Amino acid sequence: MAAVMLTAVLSACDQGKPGVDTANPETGLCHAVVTPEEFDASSEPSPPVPCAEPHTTQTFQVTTMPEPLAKQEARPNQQQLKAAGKRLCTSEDLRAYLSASSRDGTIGLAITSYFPDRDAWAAGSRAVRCDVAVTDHHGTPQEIGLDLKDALAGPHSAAVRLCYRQEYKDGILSDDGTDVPCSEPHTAEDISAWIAQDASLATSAGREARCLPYALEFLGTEKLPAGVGVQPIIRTVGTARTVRCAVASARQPAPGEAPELVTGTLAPQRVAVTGGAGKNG
Amino acid sequence: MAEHGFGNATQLRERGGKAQKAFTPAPVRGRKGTKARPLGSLGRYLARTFGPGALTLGPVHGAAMISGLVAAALMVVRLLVPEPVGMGDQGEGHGLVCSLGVMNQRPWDYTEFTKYIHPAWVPHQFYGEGCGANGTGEPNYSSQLLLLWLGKLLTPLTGWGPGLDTRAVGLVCCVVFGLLIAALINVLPGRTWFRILIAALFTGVMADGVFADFFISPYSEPAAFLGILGVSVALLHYWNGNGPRWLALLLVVLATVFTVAAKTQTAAWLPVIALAMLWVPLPRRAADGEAAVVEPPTEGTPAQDAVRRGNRWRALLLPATAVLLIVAFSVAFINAQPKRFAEVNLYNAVFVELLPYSPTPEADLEWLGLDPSFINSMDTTVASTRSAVYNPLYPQFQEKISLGTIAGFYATHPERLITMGERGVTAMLTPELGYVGSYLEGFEHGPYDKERRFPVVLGLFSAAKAAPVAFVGMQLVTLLLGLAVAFRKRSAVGRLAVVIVLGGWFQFWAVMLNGGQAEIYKQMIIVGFMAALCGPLLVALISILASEPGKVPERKRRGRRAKAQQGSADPAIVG
Repeated sequence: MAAVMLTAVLSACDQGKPGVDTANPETGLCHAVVTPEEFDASSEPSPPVPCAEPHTTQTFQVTTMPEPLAKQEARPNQQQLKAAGKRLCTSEDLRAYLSASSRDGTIGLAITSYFPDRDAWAAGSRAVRCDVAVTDHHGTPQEIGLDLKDALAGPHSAAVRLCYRQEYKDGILSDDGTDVPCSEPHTAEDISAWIAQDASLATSAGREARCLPYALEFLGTEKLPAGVGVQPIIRTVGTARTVRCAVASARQPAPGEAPELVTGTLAPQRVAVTGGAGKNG
Repeated sequence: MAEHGFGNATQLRERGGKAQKAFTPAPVRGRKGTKARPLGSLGRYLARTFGPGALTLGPVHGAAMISGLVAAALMVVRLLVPEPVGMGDQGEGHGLVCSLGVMNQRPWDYTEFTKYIHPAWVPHQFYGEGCGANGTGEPNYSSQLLLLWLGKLLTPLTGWGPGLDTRAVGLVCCVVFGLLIAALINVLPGRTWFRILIAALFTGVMADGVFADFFISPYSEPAAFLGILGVSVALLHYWNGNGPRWLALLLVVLATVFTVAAKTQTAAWLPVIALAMLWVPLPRRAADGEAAVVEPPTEGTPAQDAVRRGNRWRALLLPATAVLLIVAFSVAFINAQPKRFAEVNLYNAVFVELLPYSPTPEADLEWLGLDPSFINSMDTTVASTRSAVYNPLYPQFQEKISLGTIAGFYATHPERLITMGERGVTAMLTPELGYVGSYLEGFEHGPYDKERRFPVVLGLFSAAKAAPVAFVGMQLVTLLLGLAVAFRKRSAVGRLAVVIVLGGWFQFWAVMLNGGQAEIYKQMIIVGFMAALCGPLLVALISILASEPGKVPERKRRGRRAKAQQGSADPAIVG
């Protein structure tokens, strides 16, 4: 009886559907990868979903496994594959996909890589799929309805842009701030210019002067627009102090009043969005 | 009760059923007066109440049913009241439970989800390698799926939401445990209260948080625990010789298959199970704990001898067939397990156990036929950044290292087994998994807090860590007493003790040789459970050996001998 029940249970097991072919992945497709195990799996054959619908990952690049691993008849193990994926799916490639300029700072983007399943590998496929996921501050992929293709150049980029929320105490803002996406309330927006602090950057004026050219580059203007100011923060890690250039709304709060927290980005739109319905900004 | 100081001994013997005048001389330095010592009285009272008495067999359905219900209810209460307790998942659960089409509702981050238990699993459609052994999608089969499946059926009825809640699995485990306790009482020998005492001690072992908490978890250990109890019950029933023999054997086969299918490491006690099945059932009368009649050797014709030998072989045919069935199943099951597990176990056996504890790791690598560059990966797991999987020569490891290679290494380096054994015993005596929590989040318990409401086994094991040799000695005593009870008292409980001790030792070395130090505390849980069962078994063995009914009254013995000589059917003579 136990054996019959065991057989019944095993046959009732839903080990997972085969899904789509993993031999020929395509760039730009979005997927609903929900569990850490799916995220870390060697292959990911879930059917793609429209990027305007809730999803967790998007394929930003498809490349080919190099030798010597590519020469192996049997697919390499998970660690070997994932190590190769780290070399093949780089943040530079991702930034290019996002149309990031050198002044665009990002937050909450995790890269993972997928490979052909064992059958597809045996059939000769060596395709490597590079996916990006938008994560929260714990590293958990978030469901988004945004197409990340050229996202940093478009109007819905705030969800992946790095901003800072500084504390307001005794009438002054703290030097450092908490990292948040610009879609959340913040006091300053990172412009991807981080400078080791030296004597010339000891004063606020010195820091602002040093960051000004980067701010202008970020804003795409020759002078600061009205209502926008340079507001660098100072990040201390161990004994190392780094000035992180940032811009912020220049509206002066009333005396004794905390500066207004803003959401969204100050970055200008550069090119048209390629698709997807954003919900950030 | 007693009119004089030594009256109880006589009374006790008389309670044995047959009046027997015993010579009880007055003690030379006895106490004056007629009052019995309180402790002595208590001991005699306990012996009268809980002693095995005549080792009678046969079911006691009423007591069994009530005890089973009480045992199950106690387990349910200890697991769910006042708040659920369980065993936190260290990441292994998904590979098994996902095959029921559910995903765990838990934090994404590893350190976050191990702090507490997360019993809720919600329906989810997995694709490809997203479900199965981590990262590979290879199906992970276990008889625990049967319990999980029943838990999945029960979950919606308990109001714990859709999908699967491991609290419901815990309920299923408690019910199965109650059934096994009821069955155990029916197959144990002796007085009803003696059976209840032993079953209560078994329940005490199971109720310790180091084992019971697994009932509310996604692990396959509960199937192993319940399987071991099931095998124990089935073997006792088989050896008792009650009912159809084929049915008794079938129960042993099913219980063993269930246990082996729980976790592959349990396959290590197959040799012991095989011997147990070939250890033919006890003669009915002898199983009653009475001395067997020694038949005088009779002169027989060669033809008669041949018939007797033939009968003996025929008696072994059925159990031998059953053993073959179990072995075939085990081989098939082990082959069906994820190859990934085998690879990781071999990796751990070399890089986590063999090399780091070696005085000459370079020489060991040479013996194994591996490139010296693998020394850089010593003391790493497959997931480490220095892992050998990143070595371009890793295929060499995959080609050259097998279980046979590891066994060959230790066969030629037996001195290494001593320190390995010491580490294993220490790990076995540390059964609490401190790296996973026992409680739900939000119940005023900190992260990784462990539940220790009934720490009987934990306490004994922790105390034994001061002298691990004494613990091994306790197992050895159990083995020897088991043999004594099996051969002197002709009781199946003795045989069971032998099987449990030897089975535990086989599993111990299987774990140490196949995976070794990596996650050793969890790997040793089943070995620890079998070792903990030595406690109840020791009580049973000592009680049986100390019991008087082993001495068969001379009048009764004479009667039996006469009956046997008349040629009447004697159940002592098997096949």
